[in-house]
Amino acid sequence: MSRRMRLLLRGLLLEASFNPRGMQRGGVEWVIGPGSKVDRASPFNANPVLAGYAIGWIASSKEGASASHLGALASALGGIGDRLVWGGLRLIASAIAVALSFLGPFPAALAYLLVYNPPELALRWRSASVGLEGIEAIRADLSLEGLPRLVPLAGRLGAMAAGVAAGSLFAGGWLRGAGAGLWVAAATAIVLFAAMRRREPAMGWAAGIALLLGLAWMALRWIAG
Amino acid sequence: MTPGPGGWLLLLFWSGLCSADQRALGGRQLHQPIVAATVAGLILGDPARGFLVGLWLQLVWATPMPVGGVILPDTGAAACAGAITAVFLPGGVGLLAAIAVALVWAAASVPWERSLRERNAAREEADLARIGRVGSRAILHGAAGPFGRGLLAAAATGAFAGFGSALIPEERLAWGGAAIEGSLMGGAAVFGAAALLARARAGTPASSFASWGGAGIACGLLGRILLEWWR
Repeated sequence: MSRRMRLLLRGLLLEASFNPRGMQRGGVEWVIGPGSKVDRASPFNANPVLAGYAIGWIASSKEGASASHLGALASALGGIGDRLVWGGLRLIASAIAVALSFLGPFPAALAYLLVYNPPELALRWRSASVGLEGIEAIRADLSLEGLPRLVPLAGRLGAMAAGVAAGSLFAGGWLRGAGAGLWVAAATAIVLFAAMRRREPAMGWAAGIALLLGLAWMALRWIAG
Repeated sequence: MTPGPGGWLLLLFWSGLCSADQRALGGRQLHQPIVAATVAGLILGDPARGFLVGLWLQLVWATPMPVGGVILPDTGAAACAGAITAVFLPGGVGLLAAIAVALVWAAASVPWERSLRERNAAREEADLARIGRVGSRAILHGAAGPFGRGLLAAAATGAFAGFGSALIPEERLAWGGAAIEGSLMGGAAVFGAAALLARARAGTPASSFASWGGAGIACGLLGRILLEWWR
């Protein structure tokens, strides 16, 4: 088994031993295996999907990674990974699964797994590969021309997927007989967007009150129906 | 439908796997309620009922992020427990009970997880003293903790729901029916839509969010109406 594959597979158990003292430190040590040069004086915590950069670096460097450099790298990986994976990929998968929920149990559940897992595994593979190439490759891959370029894209796709889910849920309410309440709520959401875009508090308040009225109407219809 | 011994074993294993998946075992998102509850329902012979609970929980828990060592509720085991309750207890009251069981289980899992993490630390220190490094045993024990928690969730809920279905007459469980189901799912839908949009807004500049989110809403509205009309 190649070193990359070993890091990838063992990396799936990175947080099995997660604890408040060393955090992922014990997991990192186990992933690398005997002879690892992990600094036991300080904790280690990074986004688990992108932690391969740091683990690969520790595994490949002869003299070991310094604690200060490792801390800085872990912070960068947390900043990028949390927005890319938790705030982006997971949001997109969740929104798509919710949007497809009207198709039945299996399309929705499968959609979640299929939207999330392939790109996430690709990110794990990439982080382990680049990490093993050393600090210069990591620096290049985490520069503005590298992986961070995907963060705004994930944000936009997340906004779109969340919008699709919201639209699908509103349409579902209407098709099931929520009636006028749906349109009040949908129109309010659009006004709310406009208000947020122009940053006008009065419009925001008006939209919020209209939304509440719309929701109350929908609830009444549901209860009555 | 009551599963045989094989079905129960499979269900216990699935619940344990979902619980371990959240932190300890791979992170393949099997612990997402929409996945965990649907499969639990499938094992019990009623995937649609499991899915209903899973969708409700998914809408409510769509956005929390496991950032910086924060302890999130064990959504996988909670969803399995909810699905088991919903399958055994029919009707609107059964759905309410299922959601209540899932929420109680989720709340109980947080201090449990805290204690598991403390034990992980002790196990790592013991390994370092014994063999000078963190060994496979510490990792396997670390993964076994959440697995056992999920297994126990399914076993305890199975017993609870089994007794409940034997003791409570079916017409009492059916009370409220579609109105309860509609209110629960409608409320979760509005909350879920708002939570998803708010999470997306937090990760996107306002102008980008307005255009991409607005386009998404239009696509979602039209797409859903057209798809349902076509079907």
